[in-house]
Amino acid sequence: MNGETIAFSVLGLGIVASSIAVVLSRRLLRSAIFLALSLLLTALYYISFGAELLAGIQILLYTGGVITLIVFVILLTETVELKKHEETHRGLVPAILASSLFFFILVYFTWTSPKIRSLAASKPSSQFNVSESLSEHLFREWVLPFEVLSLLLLAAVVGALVLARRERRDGEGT
Amino acid sequence: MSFYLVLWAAFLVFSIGLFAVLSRRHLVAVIMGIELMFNAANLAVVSVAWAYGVLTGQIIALFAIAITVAEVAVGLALFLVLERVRKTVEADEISLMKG
Repeated sequence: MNGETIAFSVLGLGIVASSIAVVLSRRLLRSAIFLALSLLLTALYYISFGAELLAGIQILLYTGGVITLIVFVILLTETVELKKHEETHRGLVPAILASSLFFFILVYFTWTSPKIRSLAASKPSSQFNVSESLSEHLFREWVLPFEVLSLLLLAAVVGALVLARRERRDGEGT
Repeated sequence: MSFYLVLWAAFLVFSIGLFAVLSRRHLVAVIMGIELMFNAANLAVVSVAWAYGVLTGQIIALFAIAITVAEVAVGLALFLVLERVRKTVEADEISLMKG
């Protein structure tokens, strides 16, 4: 039980607890805030792995961008309520069964796989945390995916704008 | 041991997100569950890459984050259209394609 294990388990507990809070809280805004907390704690994991750039991008894009979008949409559509007010979930038992079955399958296969076991036994190498070689990789070997990704982002932005645009002609709701 | 801790925390968060997708009635809550699943998948990829000591996992996670953000923007725009056209926020109410 060294310090790393303790820190990792505390972080993991925090992430799992805030994720459960996301799923169970009745008010949507509250779940959005807990989602932000969960994503922030994941960024802390990335920092402790030595992946500072990834942690920064996680905070900027996820907790900055995605949570802002989600909160914005919640506030926009606050007037439309659920039909049955107090019921925020449906089909609890099959959902719990399916997701816990999925979890146990994953844990079983990672626990019995000899490759992952040897990975866990080996000491992590220290060359993981070099941002310079990360950019070397990104802009040499991964340039084509990078450019394709920029196209995809452009398409997504245009698509979102076209979808969310309000039609002038349809009269209702100016 | 700490590698297993991270990996299993990621699996647990993924299952919690799956539970949200399967059981929540509000569509934005379903989208938040999808977010949790994406985040858990990223965390698992990065932890395996950390155990191997290779940088490719970080790059994959970077791409995945960017794609996720685009996907959420489009998904929320679709949700806004749905709310405007059909006046509902529930996942069960979208039954146009049901035979």
